[in-house]
Amino acid sequence: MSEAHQIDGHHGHDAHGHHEPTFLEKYIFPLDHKYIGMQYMLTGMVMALFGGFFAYSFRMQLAFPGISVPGFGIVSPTEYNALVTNHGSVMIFWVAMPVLIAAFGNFLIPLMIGADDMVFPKLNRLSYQVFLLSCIVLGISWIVPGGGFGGAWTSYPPLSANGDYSMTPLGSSLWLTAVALEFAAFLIGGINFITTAMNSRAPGMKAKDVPMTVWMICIASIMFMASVGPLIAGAIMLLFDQQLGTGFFDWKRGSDPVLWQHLFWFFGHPEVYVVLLPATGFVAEIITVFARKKLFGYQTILYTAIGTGALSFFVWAHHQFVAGIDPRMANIFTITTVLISIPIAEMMFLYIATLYGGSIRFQTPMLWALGFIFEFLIGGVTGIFLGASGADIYFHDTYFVVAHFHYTFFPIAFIGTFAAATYWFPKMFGRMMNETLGRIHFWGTIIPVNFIFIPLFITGAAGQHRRIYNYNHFPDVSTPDLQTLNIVATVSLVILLCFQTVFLFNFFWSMWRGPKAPANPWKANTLEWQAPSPPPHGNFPPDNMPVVYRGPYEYSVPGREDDYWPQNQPN
Amino acid sequence: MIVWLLIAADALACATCQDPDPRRSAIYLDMTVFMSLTPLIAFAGGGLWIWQRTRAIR
Amino acid sequence: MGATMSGSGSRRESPDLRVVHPPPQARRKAVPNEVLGMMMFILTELMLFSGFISAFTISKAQAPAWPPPGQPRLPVEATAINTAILLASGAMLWYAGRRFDKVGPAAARVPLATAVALGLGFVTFQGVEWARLLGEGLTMVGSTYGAFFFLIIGFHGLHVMAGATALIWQGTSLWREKLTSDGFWAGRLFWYFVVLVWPALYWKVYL
Repeated sequence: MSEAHQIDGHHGHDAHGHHEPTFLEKYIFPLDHKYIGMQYMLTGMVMALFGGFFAYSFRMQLAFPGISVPGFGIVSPTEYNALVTNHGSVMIFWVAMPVLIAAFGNFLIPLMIGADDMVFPKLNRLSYQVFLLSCIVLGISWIVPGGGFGGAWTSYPPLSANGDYSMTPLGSSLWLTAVALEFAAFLIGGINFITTAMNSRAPGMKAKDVPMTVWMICIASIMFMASVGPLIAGAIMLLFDQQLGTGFFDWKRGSDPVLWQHLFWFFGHPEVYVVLLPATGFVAEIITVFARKKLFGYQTILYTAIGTGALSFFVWAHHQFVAGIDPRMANIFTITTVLISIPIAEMMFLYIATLYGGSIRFQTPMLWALGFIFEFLIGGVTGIFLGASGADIYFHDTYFVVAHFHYTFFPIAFIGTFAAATYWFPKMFGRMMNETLGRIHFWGTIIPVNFIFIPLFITGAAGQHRRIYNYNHFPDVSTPDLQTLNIVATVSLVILLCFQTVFLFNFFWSMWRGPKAPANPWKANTLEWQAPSPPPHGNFPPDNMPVVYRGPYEYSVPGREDDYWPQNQPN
Repeated sequence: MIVWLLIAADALACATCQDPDPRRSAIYLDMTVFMSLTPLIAFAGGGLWIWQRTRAIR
Repeated sequence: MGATMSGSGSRRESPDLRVVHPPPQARRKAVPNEVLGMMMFILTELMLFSGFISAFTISKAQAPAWPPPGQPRLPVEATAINTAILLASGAMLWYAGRRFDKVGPAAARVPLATAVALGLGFVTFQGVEWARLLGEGLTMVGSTYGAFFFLIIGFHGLHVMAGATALIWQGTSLWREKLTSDGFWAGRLFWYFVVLVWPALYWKVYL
């Protein structure tokens, strides 16, 4: 329970000899999991602003080719490639991963399982510092001579392996270094999450009393750790190709560039589920609280998550259907890809079944959770088109693919995050967010996002390839109709970005000026709501750590006066 | 199996961009199976061991 | 724990509200923190080496001749002896762990020192072989064959050095009688991984 005391004895929160941490200790080099989580979250928000700005710049170029983009200037082809590449890398590696897993994992796991801190607080701090270093290295890669790396976030050789092809000899190596550092950071963090969730749970909390969010973050961390090794191996080989001149991926020396695609996607596809599972965990938490109903099929959801995790190691080659693979492999991977939609679809059905018959409260977190289910289903259904190898030969590398994975990643990385941020904000900062602004932000995000990506499905199906700088050079796929759709998408993106200022204002204004939050504003059962808001150092009173008597989703139990039943109440 | 039958035989992989070297494509297939099964076996082994220890301390 | 939780609501349709549950007992850990963290780390390392080995196997399979003509042969017999040295080091560390838990920390000192010495002997032997191969013209840039050799074997060498450093550090705390049983267990696990992954690498890369 109090493992943090043993590992970090001088920093414990015992009554005797307790010294008040200085500003530096509390906010810059904290050991407290809550502050490390907030550091991750704020860093992720800053990186999201960069990623959004990149998207804005290259979408403006696509909609209005050749114009001087306000705030950026004229986008050159090299800059366009760098913008697309870094938009993808930033949004996945530096926004989705740190915010969904690291920020909420750090903040929530010890609170939800009733522990006072992570089991390895110093490793936790190291994890954030390595992550910050990776952000700095990535930032440097944008400003070195030659500009940022422009070989797409998948970084396929030979384009990425040779400075003569990519024309960014420094940028590509710095990008790879940043990615490798970022993985090291999450590796350290993941070890911490799993060990904490295994060993620091409150007395009485058995495996099936663990909140779904904790389960999901742990499964995601295990998947991350099991899949990241080959990509680190590949990254080292690619770095050697770039800097030492070895020929690991050089076809001229008898090697196979497709090898990198295998190493990359072995990680790259589980990665999708690594970021998906925490978001589904948040949604599970939110819909039960706001439907005032027990989570339908707790065990089934858990098994579907584990099944997804296991199957996700068998799907990666569907990214290489046209790269030159064995036809037997295309067969196997089509089947596994279609199969993996079953557990995820089942999970979504169980969430909808949870809503059935509940007394639903449409507050902002619930709106986001419902928006997640709706938007993610569109992404999932369009994935079946791409998973079937026959259809994929046509759709490969078109905007259909772009629209498909944005319909999965946008719900995961943003809708899931907004759901979690609005839901746990009272616990994080001890103040309530403004409900009206939250609703304005919700509708201002959910409507434009569909107007961005539904047009892209159409342009992709019409044959627009995704890696084109200027469609005016390709008259057969740049009809005025398609260009109109591109303009619709870009204008919607600008509207979407404008509405994010509402969220930023709401977030920072409420942090200092919002009304004080009670300990349990949503009347939820899980242990984090039984701690004060915001939780002090050590989370719970040291002499009164929580013990768990029941599962986390006992809402509207017949015969009880309250419609909720906190996990730590004896009866 | 049903899914298998639903896939048109011609549409298994891009015919023009298929790997022309049968030896290499076979070794890719082997490596694919190896890479997919390794984490699952490793994790299943570790998980079983932890589960047994959990049983033992109860 | 199981008995006290028999009425847990997550598995029951209509909980009896009148029952007052006794407070659950404190948790006992199935696996110590350090060991569990190390197991997760080793999972990642295992996949890292799987990635290397897969890449190596594929590159080897599509080469017309392996090793390429004009490239030096790898020292198969000498490395077989070296493999035995590393395995002996692993066995010695297993013995050290047994003595630590069964007899007492002081009894683990000699086997631990022997294990570390054998491990360092392995690295030194490898270094000598590397110097000889470099002299014969096997480099990373010259061919994919050389590149994979130095990459995979070099990465393993780095792991041996890291593991030996960790064991030396644990040895100093053993001498100062500060080494915990769990910490030593985690350190041993990493060394076992380094030792046991080597025969696989030897088989794939040398033979």
